[in-house]
Amino acid sequence: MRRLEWTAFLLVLLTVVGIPVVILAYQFIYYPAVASASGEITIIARTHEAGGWLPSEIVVRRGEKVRLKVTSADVTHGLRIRGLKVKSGPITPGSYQIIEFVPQKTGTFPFYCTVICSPEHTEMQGEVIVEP
Amino acid sequence: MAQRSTAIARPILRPPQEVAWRKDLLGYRPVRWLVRQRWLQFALILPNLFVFTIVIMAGFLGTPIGAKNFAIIFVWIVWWALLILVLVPFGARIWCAMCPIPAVGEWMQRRAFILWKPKTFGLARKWPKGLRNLWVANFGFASIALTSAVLTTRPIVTGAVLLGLVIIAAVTHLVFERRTFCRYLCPVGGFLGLYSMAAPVEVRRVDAEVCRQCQFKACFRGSTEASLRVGGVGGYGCPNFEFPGAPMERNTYCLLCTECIKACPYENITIRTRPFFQDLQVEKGRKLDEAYKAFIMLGAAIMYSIVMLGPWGRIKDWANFTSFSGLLLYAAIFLGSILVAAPALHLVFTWLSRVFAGGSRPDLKKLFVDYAYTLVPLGLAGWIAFSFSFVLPNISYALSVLSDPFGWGWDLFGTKGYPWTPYAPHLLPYIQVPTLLLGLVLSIKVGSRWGIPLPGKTSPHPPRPGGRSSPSLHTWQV
Ligand code: SF4
Ligand code: SF4
Ligand code: SF4
Ligand SMILES: [Cu+2]
Repeated sequence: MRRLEWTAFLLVLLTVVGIPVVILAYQFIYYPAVASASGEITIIARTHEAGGWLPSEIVVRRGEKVRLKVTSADVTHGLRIRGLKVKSGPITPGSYQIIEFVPQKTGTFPFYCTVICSPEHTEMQGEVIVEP
Repeated sequence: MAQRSTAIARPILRPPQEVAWRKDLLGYRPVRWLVRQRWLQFALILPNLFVFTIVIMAGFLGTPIGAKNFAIIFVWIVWWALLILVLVPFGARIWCAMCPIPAVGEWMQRRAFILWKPKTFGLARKWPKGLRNLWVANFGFASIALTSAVLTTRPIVTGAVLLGLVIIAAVTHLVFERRTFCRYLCPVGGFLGLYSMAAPVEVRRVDAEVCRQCQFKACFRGSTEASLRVGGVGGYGCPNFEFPGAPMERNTYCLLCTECIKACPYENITIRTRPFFQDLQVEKGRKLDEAYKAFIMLGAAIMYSIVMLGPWGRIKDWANFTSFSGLLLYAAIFLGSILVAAPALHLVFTWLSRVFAGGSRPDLKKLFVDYAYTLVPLGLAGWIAFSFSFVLPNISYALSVLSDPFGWGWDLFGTKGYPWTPYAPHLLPYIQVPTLLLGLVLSIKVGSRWGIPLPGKTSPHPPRPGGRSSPSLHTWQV
């Protein structure tokens, strides 16, 4: 009888604590570690009013492959990095686009949104810094 | 069997009429075995608790895009569809037997997940007399219904509301006795109760004589050492304050938790099938708070159809709380029509039908309440028809959300890319119109059935359901 209650307790604990902890650990510790080791950077696009690009500054190294995973949190956006010849298609909310490129020159390159997305659309900018 | 070696033997149920509809489900041995297992309810709750945990996580941490978020799709499309299309019309409040919302509180109160323990934990206060009705729940439902445009599209709001319900339920369980939350507070419970009267299953006592002679009343008080010596597997008294041996005549407040079946030492409670809409014939227990629930539900179904399916963008903006004045206006229109206009219209028709009946004897308030129950089939049909209009177009999201519940780019089952596919859009009117007509016919039938025994001389059948349903029919047909 005691055993039954303990089993039930463990099952409940597993459900409400265990599984969430595993999910969070995977998503926010394990996955970022694996992703950054492979050069993957996630970018979330939001209208300028809602905070703009997240992150709005990206630091990469010249000659090393960059893998951008771009998504939108509100409306359709687009990504273009001036000077690096990088351009995405329309990024619809909740979808993910993978863009891969190898920066060949050092410097600071602005990126911006290519889809008119809000009154402050033109303010929706960020920077890619390519270090030597 | 040991339990039956008592003076009172369990009689075999053989109702004289409608035998085809009536089956004693506990006559099947596996079913009888199953409902007498103490772990049954835990086993029903656990998977739902898991889904619920994911829903709350997705609500707070997942993508704010509703259509890509597990919380929105699984609560408002999948769960809702199951509830209104399957569980309530066929299984009464079977959802309440597996609902995770009060589970945490109930486990604390019982100091057990599975077992029966005679002593409970908490203050076990009695709920105030003046609040022993559905008004608080009605108010809760009306406010949830009012904010539905926000609630059903923003994951974080859904997550917060559900978590809030769990917390309120837990506190209620620790302060008050039994499932006070489910009986008097839960905004979902009220409508489940109303429409569960339609369902073709019921938990009922078997033999009145056995209950009359029973000294234990374990179905209400819970098992005791003495009752267990006679029989039963150890059960709590009805968590929802019903007294099935009294008898209980309607499904309205029965959560199908099977505690009374476990507690009754004489195995005098069973689960039966029965014809649809039976409980609407039961006069005992009809009350104004329940009647209001019927208006709120029918009114909300009509209002939603107008707001969401109609061509009026302005009203949709108001419903989405884009401006404060719009919000006020929407609240006034919405609450005004479901809380004031619908009942007022009903009152007029009740009064008219009383005048036409020529008798002044039946009390107007009683008629008002009685006739409200004729709206149950129509309201249920209205909700079913309305639900088809958003379930069929959106259910395809469920597949992609299953693979990527939080909108983090996962693809668990390889179905993330499943495209949005509205199912059977051209069939929609052919499903909805017959559903509504069926509801209308049943409403009229229910109404005309009790036209006769009422004290009025001629049949005071209300012209009401017909008059009232035309706007709703119209809306759906457009
Ligand atoms: S009344 Fe509400 S909280 Fe209680 S079991 Fe039913 S749905 Fe869940
Ligand atoms: S149903 Fe209740 S009152 Fe009737 S015999 Fe069983 S415990 Fe006694
Ligand atoms: S104890 Fe019996 S009557 Fe009460 S809610 Fe559970 S199944 Fe229904
Ligand atoms: Cu933009």
